[in-house]
Amino acid sequence: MGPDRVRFSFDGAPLEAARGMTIGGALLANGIVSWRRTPVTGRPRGIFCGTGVCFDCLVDVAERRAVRACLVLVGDGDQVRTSVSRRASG
Amino acid sequence: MSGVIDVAVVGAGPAGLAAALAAGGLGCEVTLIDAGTGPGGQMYRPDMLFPGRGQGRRAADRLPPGLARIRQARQVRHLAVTSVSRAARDHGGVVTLWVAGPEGGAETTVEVRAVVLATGAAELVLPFPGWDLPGVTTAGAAQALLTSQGVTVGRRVLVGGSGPLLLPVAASLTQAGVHVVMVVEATPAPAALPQAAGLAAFPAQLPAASGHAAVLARHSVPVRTGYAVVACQGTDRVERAVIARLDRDWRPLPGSRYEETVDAVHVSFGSSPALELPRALGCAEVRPASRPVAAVACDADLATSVPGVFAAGEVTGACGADVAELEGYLAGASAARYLSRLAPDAYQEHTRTLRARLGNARRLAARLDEAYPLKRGWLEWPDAGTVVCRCEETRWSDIGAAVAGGARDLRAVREVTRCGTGYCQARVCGPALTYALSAT
Repeated sequence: MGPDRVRFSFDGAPLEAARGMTIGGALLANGIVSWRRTPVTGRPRGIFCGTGVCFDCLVDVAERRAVRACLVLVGDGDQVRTSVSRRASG
Repeated sequence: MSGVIDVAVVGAGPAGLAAALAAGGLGCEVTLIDAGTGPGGQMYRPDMLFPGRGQGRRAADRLPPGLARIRQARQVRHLAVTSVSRAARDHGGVVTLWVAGPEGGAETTVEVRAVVLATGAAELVLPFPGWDLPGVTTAGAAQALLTSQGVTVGRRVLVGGSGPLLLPVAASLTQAGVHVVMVVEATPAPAALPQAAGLAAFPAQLPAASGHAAVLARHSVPVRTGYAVVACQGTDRVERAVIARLDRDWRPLPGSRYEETVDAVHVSFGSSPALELPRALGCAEVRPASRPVAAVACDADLATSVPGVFAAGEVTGACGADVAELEGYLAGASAARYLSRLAPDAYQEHTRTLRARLGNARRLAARLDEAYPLKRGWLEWPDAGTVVCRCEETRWSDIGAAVAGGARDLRAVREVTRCGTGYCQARVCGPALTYALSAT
């Protein structure tokens, strides 16, 4: 693995991506389009606005909960997990 | 907190960069705050995979030369990957901004005497059945993923909605090897399209409009006007898009529906100003007749209704990078005048040429804006189960019930449903719903 690649995992599966990608970009580059289940109906969600506005792409990264995958860069060793989000307002 | 500084500029797109340069150049101490990793905003989005590597492929290279001067601007302190979560203005006129990184974390404050709001716009998407399926994204998201990370969402896609963004996005996806099945533009104005797109949003990043059309023609990508994606279907991601022919008011014509197999759909209906900060500071808004989407109200010097608070670029309802940049220079100078770094006479002199150029740029942009009016026939696209508020999963039928119960605006709907109360705080559904609820 070259210095411009990053190793991470999604729900336990080992994956790679280019360094500099966001978590959302890295998942899409691996063919994964959804990584969150909605709080009311459990529907799958992934990238929608791509600019940090919609909060659809929330994902858990180890102990960090509800991270916006479209904004945060993927890091070496990140354990990314499907986010079963709670409602923002409780 | 130590020391109140002169000017904070929020947003590092063309408007914000220009404002920071102008205020800094007139002797103001400037803090530039932006959520992106580098300067440029959505317009000149940095290439995140190749920072400083080979062949001059630097993020800064996307900036036009005038704005690239930000790299050398010593009066400007740039806080990247930083968002403003709250803002308040005290009786003495000092504005406090609470800022934090992308994952929240510890907030710090920035205290300033003047603010330029250059927060840009989000994309407007009008809800339709299945718009919440994975694989359905804004056109801007598709563009951003491709330009900054080389990533595509699908291999066989539709680009739809209305506005000048559709052709450039479809063209760049096509050039990246994505099979764009079709571009569907709801506005039935075939003759206006290539010309209008010539004034489009991404002048520096992409070839000219005739270029987009040529790219699409070369790859046999049909551009259909007077059509729309009126529904998306699939289980865990979009698998099919339903296309319909529209009448002039955007009502689907009976018998015109048909399906296309796709794995992604990219939609945009133009932009919707990002009004959280202006609202937090109490800035008055306007709703232009041609586009029922609210923007910050400004005077000729880009001062908002709140003293010391200025606005520039898409947040004012302006259209395109050229207008945004010119507004930024004007707002920066205006802030410097407010702080008495520039006498009124000197301000007039300093901004004379700028005003003339801005007037011309605005006339061109207005023509483009008027070429893509939203039409209320869209209200026939959602069905009872269509999710309107993506956060709280409020359905079209819930909204209908609220309206039947007397709700006439977003606030009233919010009181009886959870619509608009989730993570995004109505930034996605709010403008569309306000449009749906407006009487006209």
